[in-house]
Amino acid sequence: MGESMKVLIAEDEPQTRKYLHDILDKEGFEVFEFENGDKAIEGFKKQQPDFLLLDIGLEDIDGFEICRQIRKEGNKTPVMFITARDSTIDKIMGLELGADDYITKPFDIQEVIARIRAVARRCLAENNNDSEELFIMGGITVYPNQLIAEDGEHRIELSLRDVKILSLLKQKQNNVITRDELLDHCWGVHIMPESRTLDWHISQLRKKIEKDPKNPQIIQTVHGVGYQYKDAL
Amino acid sequence: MLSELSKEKINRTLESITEEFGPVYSAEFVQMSVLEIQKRLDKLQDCFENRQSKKFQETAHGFISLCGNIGLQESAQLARQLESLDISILTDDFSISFRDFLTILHLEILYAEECVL
Repeated sequence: MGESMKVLIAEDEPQTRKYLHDILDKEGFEVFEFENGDKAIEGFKKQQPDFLLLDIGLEDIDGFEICRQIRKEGNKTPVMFITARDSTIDKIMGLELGADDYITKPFDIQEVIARIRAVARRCLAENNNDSEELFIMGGITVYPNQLIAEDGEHRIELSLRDVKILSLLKQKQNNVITRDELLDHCWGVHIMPESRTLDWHISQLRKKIEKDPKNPQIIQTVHGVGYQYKDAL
Repeated sequence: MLSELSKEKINRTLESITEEFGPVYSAEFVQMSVLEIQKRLDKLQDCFENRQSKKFQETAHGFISLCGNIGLQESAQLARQLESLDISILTDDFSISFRDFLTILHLEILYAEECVL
């Protein structure tokens, strides 16, 4: 999997904008957020995001118009509307404009994550036409472009960030990765997440992939230093 | 008295946020959201008293996601009803709806705060 994926958010309500930012950031996207339509269009041209998350009821240029302008120029970047407008006509209009999805507020965080991952998978599939480079760690097989892993019995849903962490551990198998290295590589130098963010993320990832998260075999803690994956040869 | 359904929705939402981000984020997020709700509530009440219909509808609209983000689903639903009403034609029904909204919102906030304590 190549560089990080960029997502643009246009949302005028600050607390909801922050919430969406945090959700997308946690998933592993590089996030660009804007409070109105004008700035969002400008940001779109500058950042060339991989997909857009648009509120419809923006004060100046609404989300429909942003989508219309982007599509008019032949751009097919995926668009997801996220709006408090729940009428069928709005949903139809959004989808007719070429939106990929339509989420109604108030939204459920798990639902938003599932839908965002679905869009991310489509983007990854389009950008990586060649055969997928899967890798095996412990008892699981990781499919980076599908954002999933399999343990032989179950399909495990992963975020972009989960895949980045597992890829790094696999690349450097049998070597210790420091916390700074992990933060740098998987969160990026532009963000300085708090230490607890890393710990929480690792603990949640272990719950997904480890048979016994309290006695992890894939992501092992090296106390005072960081983490490592030891390949059982 | 808050219904069991409302409590369940708040619990479920806050559990999901905690599962994704951890308990510290969850508590901070509720705290920040409640502060914002209280700020907007003052604005909503001003609009109500001054019969500023458009501003009232816009402010009520903001409560849909603001409340919904932390699981205050009943308040979010009542806010959706309020945003469609014309405050310039004040009726008894409207006053009841507004009073219900304030009561439910207060109860749901108290419950959400208890959940993250």
